[in-house]
Amino acid sequence: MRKKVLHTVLYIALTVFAILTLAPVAFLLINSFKSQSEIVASPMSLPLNWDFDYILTASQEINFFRSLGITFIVTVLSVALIVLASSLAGWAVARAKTKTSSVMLYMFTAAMLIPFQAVMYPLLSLFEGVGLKNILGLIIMYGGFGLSLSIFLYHGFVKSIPPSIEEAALIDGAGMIKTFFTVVFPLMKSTTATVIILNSMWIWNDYLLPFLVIGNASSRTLTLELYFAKMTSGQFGNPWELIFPAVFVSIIPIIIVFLLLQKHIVRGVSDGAVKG
Amino acid sequence: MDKYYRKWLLPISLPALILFFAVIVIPFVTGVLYSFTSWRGTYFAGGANAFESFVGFENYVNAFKNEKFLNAFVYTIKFTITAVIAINIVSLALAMMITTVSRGGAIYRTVFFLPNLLGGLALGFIWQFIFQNVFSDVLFGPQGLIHIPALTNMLQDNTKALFALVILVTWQMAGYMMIIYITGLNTIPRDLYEAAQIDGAGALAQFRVITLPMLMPAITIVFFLTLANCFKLLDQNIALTDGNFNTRLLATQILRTTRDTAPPDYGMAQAQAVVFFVLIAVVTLVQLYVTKRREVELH
Amino acid sequence: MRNLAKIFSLCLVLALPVLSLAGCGMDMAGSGYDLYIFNGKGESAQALKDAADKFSEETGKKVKTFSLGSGTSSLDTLRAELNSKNMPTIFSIVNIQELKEFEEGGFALDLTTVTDENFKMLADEIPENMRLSSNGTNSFGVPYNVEGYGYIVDTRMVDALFGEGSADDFLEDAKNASYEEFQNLVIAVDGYIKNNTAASVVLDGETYTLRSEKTDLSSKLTGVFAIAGADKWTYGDHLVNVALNAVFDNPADAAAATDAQIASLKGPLTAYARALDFKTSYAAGMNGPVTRGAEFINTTTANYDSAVQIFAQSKALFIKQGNWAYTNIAKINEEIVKTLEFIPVKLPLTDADVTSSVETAEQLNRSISVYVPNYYAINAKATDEQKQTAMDFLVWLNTSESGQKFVTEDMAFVPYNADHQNITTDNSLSNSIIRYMEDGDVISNPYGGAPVNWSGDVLGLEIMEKYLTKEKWTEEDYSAIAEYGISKWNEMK
Repeated sequence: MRKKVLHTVLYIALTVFAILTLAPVAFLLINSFKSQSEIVASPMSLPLNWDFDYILTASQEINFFRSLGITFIVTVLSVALIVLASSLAGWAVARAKTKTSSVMLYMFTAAMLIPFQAVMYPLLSLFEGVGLKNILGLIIMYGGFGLSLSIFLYHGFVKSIPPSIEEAALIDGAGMIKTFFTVVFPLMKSTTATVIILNSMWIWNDYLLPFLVIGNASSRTLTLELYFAKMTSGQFGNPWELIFPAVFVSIIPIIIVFLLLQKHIVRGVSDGAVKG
Repeated sequence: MDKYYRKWLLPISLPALILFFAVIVIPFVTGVLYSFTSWRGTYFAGGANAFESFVGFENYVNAFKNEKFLNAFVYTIKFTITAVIAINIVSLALAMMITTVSRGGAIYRTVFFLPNLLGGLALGFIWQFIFQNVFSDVLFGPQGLIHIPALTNMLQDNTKALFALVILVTWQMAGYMMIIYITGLNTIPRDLYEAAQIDGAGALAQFRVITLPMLMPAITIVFFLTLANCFKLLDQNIALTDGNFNTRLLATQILRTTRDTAPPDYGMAQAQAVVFFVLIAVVTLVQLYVTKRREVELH
Repeated sequence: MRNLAKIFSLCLVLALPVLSLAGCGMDMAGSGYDLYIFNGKGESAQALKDAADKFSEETGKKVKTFSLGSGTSSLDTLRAELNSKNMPTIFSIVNIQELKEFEEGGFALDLTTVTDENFKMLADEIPENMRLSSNGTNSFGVPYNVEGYGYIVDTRMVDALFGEGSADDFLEDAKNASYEEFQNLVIAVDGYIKNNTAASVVLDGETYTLRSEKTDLSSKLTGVFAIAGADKWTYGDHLVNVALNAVFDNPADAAAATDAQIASLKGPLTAYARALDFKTSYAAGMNGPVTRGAEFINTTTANYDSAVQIFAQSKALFIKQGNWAYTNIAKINEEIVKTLEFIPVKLPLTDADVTSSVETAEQLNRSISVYVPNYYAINAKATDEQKQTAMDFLVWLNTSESGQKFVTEDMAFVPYNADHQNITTDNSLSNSIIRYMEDGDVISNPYGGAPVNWSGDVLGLEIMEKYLTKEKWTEEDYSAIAEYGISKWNEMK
């Protein structure tokens, strides 16, 4: 009996929290169908009519499909780069038990403490100097920023598996690279999933780096389009009838991906934390 | 075999090393170097290159004389402490509730995790409207549902804005930390509680004697993540108040320093960034040391 | 996990070819234009783009323009662009403070060194007092235009308040009226709005009596002034500037301020604080009068745009704004823009306060501030070919008939080089400025020479944070505001 009461109370509390959590999203949804004056006058009520014009206008304004494509490319390629570079390095560092390897591990891990602001301006000058202030450069930068945590995770995983399997392959005469891709990498797939998830989540939503690297060039990421849509609209300081639907369409893809892959994502987050 | 691995260590790590040096090490070292020059962002004042415009520790001295930097320093610490406490309490409470209920936990978990997927910029736009219009008028304004002056115009006051920011980041990060706590809670063997119940321990005592000690590894991680994220917070700060009312956090302060003077003082911004790095390094290392030691003691 | 791996590899396969396409696209964008103009003035974004298109049409040169929204700081973006491979050839500089960076960094081309004949003529003809110069002889920019600001008033509203046909005399008398007379006017109109008391006021010796019955138009009023409490540049930069004119002649004068000049700001800044207190006590809102408090500086309901909206919907008698607000007002109310006029912003100054060449308090209170708000600068690091195109464009914009059409009509600007006796524009506010220029009743923009951010981000911010949220101001507050301004100036110079 007591347990039943407790559970009822818990369900009520959880539901209240869930409503509070979803409220801003629901709020975003209903205001994506309203005009400026309707938003300001009655932000909490349902729209008078479900007018898709605002969403269409906003989608055009932020070049939805193009910017979505660019964000997608940047995220996927950056993550691929991170996975490749850090799985190799994590493996090598874990297996070679030398002074150099422990120095390398310390260095990679300590870099987690460097705030972006400390490297921001020189990084841009450097990449500008070598002609990489573009999407390719952006991908490389993400590759670098994603390394620390990812190498740390791979290293932790490799340490937990015995080297016997790969050593067998090596003794059989397979080269180091071949051994890695045929034997080691497939073993690492749970860590790889974690690395992919953790990095995609921040790269997809990142705003400052694309702003500094791509700026107002024609190929902008989704967050960048959102920023410029707000900044270049002259008439109203806050054109909510544009901002709400623009934010709304920009979060739809990520929510769909999340709902499809949520089991993996949740596991990725907890694995990343437990091993980290 | 070891020899073989040793031989291959550098070649195999090469992609990572190149990326790491190009993106982090070289810019970081350059940045430290620039913090001793009168760098202006697009050029060096008083010389053709960094060495010719060397000014010693002047930028650091100026930074610590700079009222805005000192304010941001204090404000960041106040914000981080409040936010870390708030996020931890909320996420632990959510995790414990979800692990206690028998069914439907997965749905709640999905809902609470959702805000993490949304970018700081998008969130900032929405929350700005919520604080300015919904909180100030519809809900808590003089003509609103219930009049709570403390929750109106939260973005126009230094202290209120701090709590506005805490509300926003708690809403955003609690779901993520909750996942980590759930994982931690699930590793605690059920029979420990059963044994405690037989011994007559109440819910509070069980929490103190069993849950908390067994959860220490998860607490370490959550503290680490929340500390780092709150210290470095930028997007949300810019979106909500843009640093007005002395609400600049350190990350915002460094970004905005270049707007405070003409010509822009990138050298001093860089000096502040180096100080920021030292602060983060010290705080996280101390935190890791303390919580790790507690973990050991409790075991 | 296997699923996830499959999904990810699929993504990779999809992404790679698209990247190569995007790569090609980027290269084409890089060489897709002959001239890149980075415009710092958001209000004229569309008009500048149209002008650029027209220029392309006439010359075959491709032009790219970029502008950020009004009120947004474009400097970060500009710096990033100047650091990139495809840097702008024309960019804008606001004032001599901002010039420092671009001169020191070698980005701004000194126009006095140019040899191209047409452009040299254009550069030489820029009036001496309008040049963007760091030492008096060099010159780094071609003025966008001249702008002016004051209290904008709708003459139809004046007729609605004081009787048909009263507007012309009212404008003249309000221009010459003293600060005290202006104060009485505000109090009388406020009483009329709130309590229907039809009082009389005296302006420059003439008596004006409010109508006994409100008209449709005058019953819309909710207050006397439309105020953007959240936009500190309105009362920081622009209102403070009026007070600075009591001490400094122009930006260069302010940039070279002596200790004695800075100290003598005490009187003018106290007068400024007093006038601001008065003004913000009679603010109009969307649905009724508003009072100082947290709501007064709400960034979504008390910003520049909402103030413009309040005025354009005839809910306020005055708004302190410039002719740049014309297009914004027109977007909300097509009717009202035809009948707008300026009257000067007035401060409770004494002649002793006025030490600049304006000389008397009376002259200062009958003048409006007119100045160059923005300059086109040419990027010295661009190629000679790019520079040539940039010069051709600026010459075309400022001397050709089709170029001038965009300046006066589309941008609704008062051209800096127009013979003021001969032009009238379609823009009522620009015409009003031209009349003030003809009469010689203009003051300058010394705030452009004040220490960087002093007026807006420091003094304006202090006022926004500490005073606009405060119900009552005291004599001590006036004095504290003035002292704060002076001490910060000394600290920041």
